[in-house]
Amino acid sequence: MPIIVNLDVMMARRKISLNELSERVEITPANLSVLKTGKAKAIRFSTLEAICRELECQPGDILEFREDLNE
Amino acid sequence: MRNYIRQNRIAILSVLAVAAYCFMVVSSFSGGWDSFRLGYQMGLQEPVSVEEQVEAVPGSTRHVNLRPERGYLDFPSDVLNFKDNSMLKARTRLIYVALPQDFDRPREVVVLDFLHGVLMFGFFIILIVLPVKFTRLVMSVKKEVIFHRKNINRTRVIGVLLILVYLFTVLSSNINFRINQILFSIPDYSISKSYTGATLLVAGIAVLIMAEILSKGLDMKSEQELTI
Repeated sequence: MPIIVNLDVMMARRKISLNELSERVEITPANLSVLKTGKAKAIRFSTLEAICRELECQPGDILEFREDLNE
Repeated sequence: MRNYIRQNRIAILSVLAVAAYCFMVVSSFSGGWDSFRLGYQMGLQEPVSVEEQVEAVPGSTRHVNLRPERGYLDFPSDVLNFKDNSMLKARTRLIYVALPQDFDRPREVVVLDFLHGVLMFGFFIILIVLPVKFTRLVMSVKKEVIFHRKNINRTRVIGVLLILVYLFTVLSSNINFRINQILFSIPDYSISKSYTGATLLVAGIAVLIMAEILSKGLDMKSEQELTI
């Protein structure tokens, strides 16, 4: 999929762990891990909103489109 | 409540399916059972020597489908009505022919008989595999595991087996027809093929379509699960 999830980059910048973020956005660590590793098929606006609020960033900082990664 | 109703519906449908399958199997053997029973009764009636018994038993029997040569409005046979001793015009669609024990089958018939035997063996295997696959599918659905790769494969196998049963039936009918054409020629009648309804073919295709719907459902389920 040409959509890259840069959640791990943003988490490293904000120096926040997966467990801590999952508690703050009220998502299970397993689901957040699926999102972080790029295995997720879709993301809800409510989830994106919560992550952006906690990481103080824009959706574009987390999601990136790369055409060369097209299947 | 809704879940309870669905569970009950699945249970009722499963019982109905098993009953229908048992009826299908029993009814296909009922003809053979009648012959066995009559033969047993005949054997009990009066003691005869082994030679006489061997002579009385036909080498093999064949069923021959017939069609009046001049169409279905023709009644080429006559039957005596014992009620008023009148002769009635009649036609027959199926006769059972007993062949003597020393009947010499032509080579082509021997080959076709062998092919027919192979087909019947395949049919027998399907009769065993089909209920096993169906039972596993029903058990899985009863455990609320519906959209699963194994269930889709089972459904596909059931669909393919139903279509195979139909094909086997058609092939068997054609082989019988060819053998009868080689062996018999009945006055005023021509040999015809036995009727093979397409119900199993339609059912098989419907089950295959259902398998594709299940497959689509599985994709949707995995997408739903991977939506964070």
